[in-house]
Amino acid sequence: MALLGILMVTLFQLVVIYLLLLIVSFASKSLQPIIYAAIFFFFLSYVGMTIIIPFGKTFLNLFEPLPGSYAKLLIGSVFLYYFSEMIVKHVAEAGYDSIAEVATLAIKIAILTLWLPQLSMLIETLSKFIIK
Amino acid sequence: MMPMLESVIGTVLSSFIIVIISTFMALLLDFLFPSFSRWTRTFLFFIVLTVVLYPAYEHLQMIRSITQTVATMFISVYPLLTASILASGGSFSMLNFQPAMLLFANGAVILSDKILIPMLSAALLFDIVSRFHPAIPFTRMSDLLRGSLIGLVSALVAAYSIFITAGGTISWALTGVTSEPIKKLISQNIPLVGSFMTDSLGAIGRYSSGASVFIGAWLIVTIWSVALLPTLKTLLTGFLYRWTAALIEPFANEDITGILDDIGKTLFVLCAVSFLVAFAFIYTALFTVILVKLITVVK
Repeated sequence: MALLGILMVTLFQLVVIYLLLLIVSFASKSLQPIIYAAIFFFFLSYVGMTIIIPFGKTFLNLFEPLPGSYAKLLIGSVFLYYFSEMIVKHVAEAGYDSIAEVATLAIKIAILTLWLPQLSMLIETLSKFIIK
Repeated sequence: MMPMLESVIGTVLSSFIIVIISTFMALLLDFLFPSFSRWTRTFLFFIVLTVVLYPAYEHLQMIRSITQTVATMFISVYPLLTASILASGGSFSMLNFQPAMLLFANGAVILSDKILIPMLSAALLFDIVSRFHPAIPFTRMSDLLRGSLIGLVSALVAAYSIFITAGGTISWALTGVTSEPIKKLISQNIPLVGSFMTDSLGAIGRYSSGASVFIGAWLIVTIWSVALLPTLKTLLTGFLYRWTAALIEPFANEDITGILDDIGKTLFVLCAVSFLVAFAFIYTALFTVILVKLITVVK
């Protein structure tokens, strides 16, 4: 029931934000980008706090029995990638595509760095078979 | 047996591990730079080709050198053998040996040296070209080459076995009820050349059991293992190619698994060709040994 309430509230907020942005675009065209950015980050943080992160935690608990830290790594990197994608998309919408591109690469490298111990373990195990 | 297995698995497996690791590397690069993926694929193809082609090429070379050695052996031994058959006269009637058979074996070896192995290399080349440039495919061509090779080789071995059974030698000791399941297993599980292998093994077996009356069983075992070792090596390598293709299929490009599969197929055919050579070798070796024994006994 609580989840349904949160969903209804989020939907209502979405409608309010949409109307607000419409009004702003009428009232002051020059202020619209900055208000849009501010509202975007507010909304993203709100949805993240109330829905995405709690859901991620339940998701993690669901796959608790998996050995090692693979479930944590995979779900963590997916959420990291998703948040970064959201922000990067926003930056790209504002017209700064090249910055967005660089940020995407940086996030990808960061995610790979999280996986690096596992990867090096795998490659080490495989390379034991190579006879030089 | 074990050192042979280790050396084959060691050299071939390490190149396949390199393939698997480089596929992983390409996967990560694709994740980081998706716009470069076409070139990553091309470079990965080159890496795989340089690493993987080497064992296959080595086997081609090995079988080729063995074939040349056997051919020289035939050419030097054949006049001697026929002369001594003529000299020893009646003692050969109990061996039901046909001199034509020896000539036949010689011809088969020269055929495989001059035609079969170059054809096989051409098939390999056609496979690589059609995988690398799918717009100009030569897959039918290479399949045709391989198919006609298999047909030629099995026809030759069938002719051999007809020669041998026409002589009416004692049937192979293993062709009882016990060996039937094993033969079935081999013929069903080795792709392309399985049934051919069991048939020709039966043919060689029939001959060598007839000969084992004259020479010891251990000598037959030795000749068999010496002759069949290259064939077994090639067979094992072909299987390793297919296993690697199966292993990397989930995360590799389709053309890389395809090229591994194609090379494996070609190696199976090469295995059949080397089987033919081994067959000829076993026949000649057994015959020479029998001849030497007979001459010493008669004296």
